[in-house]
Amino acid sequence: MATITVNGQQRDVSADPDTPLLWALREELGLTGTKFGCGVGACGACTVHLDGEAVRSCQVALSDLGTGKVVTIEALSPAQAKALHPVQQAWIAAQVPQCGYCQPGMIMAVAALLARDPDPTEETIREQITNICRCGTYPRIVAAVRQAAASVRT
Amino acid sequence: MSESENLVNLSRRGVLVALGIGAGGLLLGRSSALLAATNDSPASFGPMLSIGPEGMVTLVVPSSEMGQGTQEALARIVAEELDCDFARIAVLLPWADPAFSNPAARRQITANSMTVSGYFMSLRKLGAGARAMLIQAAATRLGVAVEGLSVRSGQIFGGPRPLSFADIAADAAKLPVPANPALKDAAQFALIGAKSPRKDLYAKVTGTATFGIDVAEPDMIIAALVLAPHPEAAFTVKGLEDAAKLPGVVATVPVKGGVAILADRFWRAQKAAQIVSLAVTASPLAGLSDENLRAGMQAAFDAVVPAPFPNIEFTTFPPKLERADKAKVIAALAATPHRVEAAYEVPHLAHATMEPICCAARLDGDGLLIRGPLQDPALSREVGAKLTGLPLEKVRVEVTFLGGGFGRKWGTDFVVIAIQAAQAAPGRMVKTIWTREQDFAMDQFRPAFAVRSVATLDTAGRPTAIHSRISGESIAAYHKKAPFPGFEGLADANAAAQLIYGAYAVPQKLIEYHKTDLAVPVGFWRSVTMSQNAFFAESFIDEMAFAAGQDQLAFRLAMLENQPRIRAVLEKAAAMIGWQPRKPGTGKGKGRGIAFSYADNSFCAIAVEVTVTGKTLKIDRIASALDCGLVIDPVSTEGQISGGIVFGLQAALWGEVHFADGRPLAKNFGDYRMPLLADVPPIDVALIPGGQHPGPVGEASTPVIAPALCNAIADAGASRIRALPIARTLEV
Repeated sequence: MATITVNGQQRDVSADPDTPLLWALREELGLTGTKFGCGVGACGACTVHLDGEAVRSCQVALSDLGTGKVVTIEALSPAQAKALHPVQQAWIAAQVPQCGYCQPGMIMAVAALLARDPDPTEETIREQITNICRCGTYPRIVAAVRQAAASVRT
Repeated sequence: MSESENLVNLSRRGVLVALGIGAGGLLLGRSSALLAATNDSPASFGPMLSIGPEGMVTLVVPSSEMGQGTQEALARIVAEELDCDFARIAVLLPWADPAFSNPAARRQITANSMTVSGYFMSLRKLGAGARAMLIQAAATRLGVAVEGLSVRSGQIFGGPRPLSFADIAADAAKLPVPANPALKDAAQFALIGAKSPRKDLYAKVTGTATFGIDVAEPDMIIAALVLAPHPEAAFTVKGLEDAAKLPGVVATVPVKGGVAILADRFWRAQKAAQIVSLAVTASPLAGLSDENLRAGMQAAFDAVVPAPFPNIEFTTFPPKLERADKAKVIAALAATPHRVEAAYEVPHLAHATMEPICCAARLDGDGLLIRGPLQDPALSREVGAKLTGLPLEKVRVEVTFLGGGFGRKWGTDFVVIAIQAAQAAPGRMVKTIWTREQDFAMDQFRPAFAVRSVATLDTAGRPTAIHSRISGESIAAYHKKAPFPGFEGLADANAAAQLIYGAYAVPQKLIEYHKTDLAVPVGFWRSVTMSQNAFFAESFIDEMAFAAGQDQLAFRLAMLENQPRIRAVLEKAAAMIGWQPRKPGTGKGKGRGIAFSYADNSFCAIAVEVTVTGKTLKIDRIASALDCGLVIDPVSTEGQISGGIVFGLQAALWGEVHFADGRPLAKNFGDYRMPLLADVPPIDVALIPGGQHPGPVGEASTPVIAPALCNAIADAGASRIRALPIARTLEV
């Protein structure tokens, strides 16, 4: 039994210690917004925040988590907040998602980027966001990130 | 239906109908499940539409939502005629039900870009009919004439006070459904054509959209798989007993082409699966490699006599009821000395949907329940009935959101496996999840093809005859379906149609298909036939322009005098990149290319600018113009075009599944490069709306980017690329 901190709560998780955080979130805690895409850390569909940094949760074993604080897409906009996180708002305004499967991971990656760089250049956005979107929603993502960044700064 | 319309349908849709089990005139049946899914006592306006006592309108959107935005588009079509408050219309994902059949496909299938166009008229009538019933009920209630009433945003005006849909829905639902309700004039459309965000976006940005992989039930079992390199392979299994002893493992089950390991958690099932190994004793792919794949396709040009096509001239648009006169074409080719010849090839492609293949199923006393990301719920239901021996009405199929489909989730191979896994644990939901590696290795690939083309030009440089031959595997043959019902022994039009565009006014054209039996699992891939043939057709036309020394755009336009819609998209796309006429191939490192594709009521052109420096390619910009008739959702439509270009760009630049030792080598994204944000050049999309009826969108741009790009590379002065992917030749 491991105790992990997810979305501000201490949660007891009975999964095997070598279970990737991705599967513990999805199957033990029912947090299915975090998606399985590749299992090798290549696609980013499973991106969550670990102590504020974007990590690919398929590459983090439960036993390696320690006291790290995990935030998933379900808690990106805190329950007490009335509105969605600026990145989520920008994603709707720019109408980014198509199938939507990769978007929670994409949004988590972008939110972490904006947390450490509130005004990223287009070049930074293109270099730093390396999640795969098979629907090819990329053309709208740069604009949406910049819109979200402007919103975060104000 | 007129004969010509019938033939247009046959040209692409007929293939699907044929593959998906004939036709079947299926009309309204009532689904009690809808009642359970909405308010306590909603007023029902047919199987898809109901209005609850609070005035909430509920629409079961009959198509699968896999990113193309048809949930929004179909809801808009109904709401436009119904005049409800669009904010108060809830959309539900569908289940398999004959009442939900797409009128164009005559079955419930989401494929071939025909959802919006196929349902358009029937859903307008649904909305308009319900509106007429609501007005009639209001008129009766108020004791006034129908003519004095009007409807706006779910309110009926004209009486002493407005009546809401909630007030009147129960009365209205008891009235007869009008057979031919009056429809709005397109000029009145307000929702259709609006730029408002799709209804599904909220769920998709908050992680609350339920995809197939998210299906969950208490006490659910997860199945991981061990799969042979081919569904028909024979094999022996090692390690099953050890796997069965591992923590959490519930059962090990033989399934089609492999073994399923059932456990309480995915990770436990997967760990157990990893200690099981299959030793293949016989496989239809035994010994297959890239080399003998290619050799097989080349040998087919000589060894396989092309079968005649169904009696339809696929090279014209719309298709005509005449076959090309082979003797005349051959004579025309021999008559002029100015010949252009080229050989092309494209490899197998993977679908790589972001959601790996998955499907859940539960078999219990009530019957079989299948829940998953399905493009063909009707066929999945038939498969379920066949496998379990249950009558069709005991098989319920519920469609989740699809994390991408692109044709892969049209297949039912994974549904079969999911049902077999569920049969081993009666009473419990069993969710089968494929790994990404299995998703790649056991894909039903877009087939590889090879082409040999020859054309002759007259003294003015205009083509007088084109003869194009294609070899490669038939999707219909792999799935053991006749390419057309009643046309057994005839060629599979899916492989060869539009290998020479019928739209081009060229006096003699001949397409031939040398069917090649390779036994590679193959299936439909976004844009189907055009995914390979737009590259072959539009590359070869470009080569003729080069041979004639004429500007590539002008050369095309000269053969498209009677195609105003194609001309318009070509001219628009060219203008978007500032196309200036000049001799082709003289770009000195800076090239521009153009290409188009078309289908019934949809025309898409792409113009590209590139820089080629030595062996390095840089794509400077991409511009696309689309005329798909009436546009329901312009922002989503633009997204389909730009996203479709990115999808096609992946295939053009990097897409290639290698084979060696009788199995595909692609294992994960590391072996199958995907474009990332940094790879995607600026893409501009222009819509040229018009007309009264929507045309296909989702597949329009995907096949066009490869020829536009390769044409631009040749224009830059680099060697013409005749074999995809481009990364075989240039660094990107």
